[in-house]
Amino acid sequence: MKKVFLSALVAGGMMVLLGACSSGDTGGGSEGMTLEIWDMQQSSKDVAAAYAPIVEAFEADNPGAEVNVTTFPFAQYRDKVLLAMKGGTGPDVLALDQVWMAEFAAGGLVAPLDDQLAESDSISGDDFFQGAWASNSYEDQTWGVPLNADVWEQMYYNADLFTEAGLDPENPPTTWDEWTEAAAALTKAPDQFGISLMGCKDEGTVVMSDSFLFSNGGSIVEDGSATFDSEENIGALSQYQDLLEYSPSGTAGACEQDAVARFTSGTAAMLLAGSWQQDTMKDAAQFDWRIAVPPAPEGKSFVGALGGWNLAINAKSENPDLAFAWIESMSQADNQAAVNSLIPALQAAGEEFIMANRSQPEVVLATLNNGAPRPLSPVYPAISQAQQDVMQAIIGGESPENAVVTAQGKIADALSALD
Amino acid sequence: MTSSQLTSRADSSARARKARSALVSYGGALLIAIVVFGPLYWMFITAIKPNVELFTSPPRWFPNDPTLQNFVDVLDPAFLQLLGNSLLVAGATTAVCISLAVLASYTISRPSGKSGKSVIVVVLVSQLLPPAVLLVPLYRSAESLGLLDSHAGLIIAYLTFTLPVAIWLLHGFITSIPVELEESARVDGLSSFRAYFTVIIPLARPGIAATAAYIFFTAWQDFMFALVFLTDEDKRTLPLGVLGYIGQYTINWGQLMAASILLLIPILVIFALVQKQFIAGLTAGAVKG
Amino acid sequence: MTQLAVRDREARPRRELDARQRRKISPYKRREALVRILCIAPPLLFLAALVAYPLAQTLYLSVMKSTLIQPDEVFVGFDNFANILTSASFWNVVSNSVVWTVVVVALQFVLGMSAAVILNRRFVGRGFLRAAVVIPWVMPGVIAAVLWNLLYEPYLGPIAQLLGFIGVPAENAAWLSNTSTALFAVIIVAVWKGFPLSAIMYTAAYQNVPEELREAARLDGAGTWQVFRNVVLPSMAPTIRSTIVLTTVWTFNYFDLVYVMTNGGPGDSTEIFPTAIYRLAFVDVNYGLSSAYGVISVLILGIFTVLYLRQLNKSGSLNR
Repeated sequence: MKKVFLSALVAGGMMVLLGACSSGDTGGGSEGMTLEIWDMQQSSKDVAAAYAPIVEAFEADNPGAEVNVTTFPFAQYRDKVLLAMKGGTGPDVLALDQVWMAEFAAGGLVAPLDDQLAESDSISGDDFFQGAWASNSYEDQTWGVPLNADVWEQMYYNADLFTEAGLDPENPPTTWDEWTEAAAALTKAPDQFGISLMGCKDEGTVVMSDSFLFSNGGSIVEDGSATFDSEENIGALSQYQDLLEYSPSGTAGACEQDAVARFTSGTAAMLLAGSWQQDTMKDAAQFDWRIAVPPAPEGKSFVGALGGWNLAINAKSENPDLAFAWIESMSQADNQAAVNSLIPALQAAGEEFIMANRSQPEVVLATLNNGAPRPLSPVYPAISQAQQDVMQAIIGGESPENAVVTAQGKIADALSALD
Repeated sequence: MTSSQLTSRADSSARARKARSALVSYGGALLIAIVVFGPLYWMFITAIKPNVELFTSPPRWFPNDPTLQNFVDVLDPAFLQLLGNSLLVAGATTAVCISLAVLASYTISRPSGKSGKSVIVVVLVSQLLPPAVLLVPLYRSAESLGLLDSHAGLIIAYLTFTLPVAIWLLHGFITSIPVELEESARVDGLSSFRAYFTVIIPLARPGIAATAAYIFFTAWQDFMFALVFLTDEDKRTLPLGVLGYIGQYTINWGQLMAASILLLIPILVIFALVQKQFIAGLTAGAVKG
Repeated sequence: MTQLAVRDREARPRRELDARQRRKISPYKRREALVRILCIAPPLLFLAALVAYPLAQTLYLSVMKSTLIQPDEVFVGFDNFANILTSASFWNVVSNSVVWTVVVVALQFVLGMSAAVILNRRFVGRGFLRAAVVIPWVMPGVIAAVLWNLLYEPYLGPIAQLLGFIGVPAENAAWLSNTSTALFAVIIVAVWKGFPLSAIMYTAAYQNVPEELREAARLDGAGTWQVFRNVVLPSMAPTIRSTIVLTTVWTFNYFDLVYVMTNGGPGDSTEIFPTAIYRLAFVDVNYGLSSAYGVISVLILGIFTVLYLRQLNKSGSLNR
């Protein structure tokens, strides 16, 4: 009996082995016209379902082509992409964060699209939001086509709390001094605070802080050198530190959704967050919430930090022409609108989206058109880390003068790796 | 004192001891229940809260308008497929791994086994590498072995990591069973193989059940290997699916918590069935001989 | 002790067989040997591919310079190691990792053992509680992390509210955002999440403690605690040993909780080896540096396990 059991087990094990060896498929090794598309799913949209009709239409227009769209949760997307691309089994077309473009281009993982773009009738740089199009360029070549775009950030404010504190909700603060005064007036610790700031160790904090830096005229990298140690940046970070006084404690651990929760619960009267939070507001905020362009230093205007996703072609793709055809299809207005829960990068579709889905669309559009990109550098992740450390230090009470010097050193180090 | 007075005093002190014992048992059980279920309660109410009530100051311990909508939204065919995949992968891994581990323990865990130490070394070495460093070479190995994007590949990967540990855990359980029992069976004329499997293994049932539980639950909650080995959405296991509710800027709290609760229920059911084996180990008869 | 020695001496004569007996049993022994090999061979093969190869690859990359943007590997000797060992952050990572591992394992042992003892007593609902106790462990780490982030919220979460009832203001309840308390806040979650494994293992081992030994000790006048310390615990020693070594290694390398809850922050007060290595491998995409860090991590863990096992070997409890 035991012998029978044993041999059955071994046989079973062999079958599993053989089965694995035969069914295992190395991603891009199939002949014929198969396209693997990878995208990232945002939590509020069933992206897979949105792609289905687009896939059907594409397959109809390109007989013999088979399109396979796979979506991944945001948290694992970069890991999966890196693993697959490094291993050589990546997709043909993939969505990439704007700040990853230079990295992937420098690493030879994605293909330049200049030739195909020159021949294309349907894609033209002017049709897209400027900042989104520009985020695809690295070393004078274009490496992707924008899919969606947005900007950090809007200022949300609680009109009810404004009125209670004697402030005019029709005239939210427009300068940094007014801002700090308003925040002070709105703070009634320990239950109510003037502003809910985010400060946790992630990219969201970096982009928000960029909007402070840019608005004050500061910059991070220029012409390949670190420019972080500047009066403008010190001034911007000082403003952030001033606002911290009127912000609930725990900012060092508050990521975007935490900051939003403090606003929607009525704990804080102002909030800096992207326009994509409007859906959450509609759902969760039971008060008169409004948005405004965030305040800027006296005499200057607000400059936001741009973000979004682009579509790129894998340098090892076996069907680059078909892949480009897919990108052309994805750059049409109705397809852009269908799969995006962020603002479509195509201006026509984008504006329509904003009008339809965002309250105070003129505010949203204004900040989108007046945004500046984050440094488009292959070592952006290291730059971002340095900025995250700066923000953590500032929240911990470090003086902006010292913090920027440390960051300058780290950013310069990172950039020196490119030489 | 009369004998009846003595007995009644003995009775009352016995009753007092029993009462104290019950207090310890139920008190301890209550503490365990609070520790385990406290956070789970919060998970549950977050799943039944409408979005407006999610973040209130002060927090609400029970929603004013509870809703089961999140559970309804989450229980779509895709979710059931994820569940099925998880059951398949975790179940197969457990079945094969436990069989192999029990067989291997014959070689290793018997008193005369000399390979005990080398097994320990192999086990520990296999666990030492941090996950992030492991991922890239793991992906390449999987690729060259043709194991990518298949359940079989994932099962083999889980086997590779759970088998050494399972062997070692069993080693711990089996070596705590007195040697004399096997010796006495051999004296009775059984071969060592049969002595081992008919006498020792049944006694090790609680240990085997515990080890099987470790294998199943490790496979169930893993998402690192699933991430590396699987791409096709149809093949994904539950943890990968549930993480879809965490977006780049927003978290879909209600559905995330609802899906997480649904992820936990099959475990409770399976484990409730399995833990009867623990009770079976209480057969005092065999141990006393 | 003496009983075992006597038994061994008695057993030895049995093993000296004459030639005829040897020939009689050798085909059986060969089959046995074959069985043993078949049991071990397939997993050993995959162990080679899925454990030995990554280890070798890590060692190789640790002396190379290899990043995403400069993928061609260049030999740099011990530069990566020098880089890491001289960085200010490294020693912080070491100290965080040690505190993290030691405290989590110790608390998991205490909580797990207590739970095992309770769960072996008779009370109504024991079966249900035994099944329910595994829940924290079975929850994927990311979900547990996200849940506890909710619980720890200083203005909107229940823990802060409860602390408020005993007079702790919200500013002091932001444990996750405070450099001095963040690591301990995550440690609590790790203990909550991991103690069920210890509880299960000790529950099973507890049941194999011979009742007669316990009875004998009690008849000798030993109190409950003495019975526990001198009879129960030593009988459970092999299981305790296995569980502690394993939980130490797993805790040291446990990535999910810290990464999701604090990402190494605030500042770098919760940066431990696995998060530092992940950052180097997947954010900075510096394979050389992350591999070197990985080698250091393996060395530290390896040294610990060797010392631990050697210590046990000395005290005689490794071989029964």
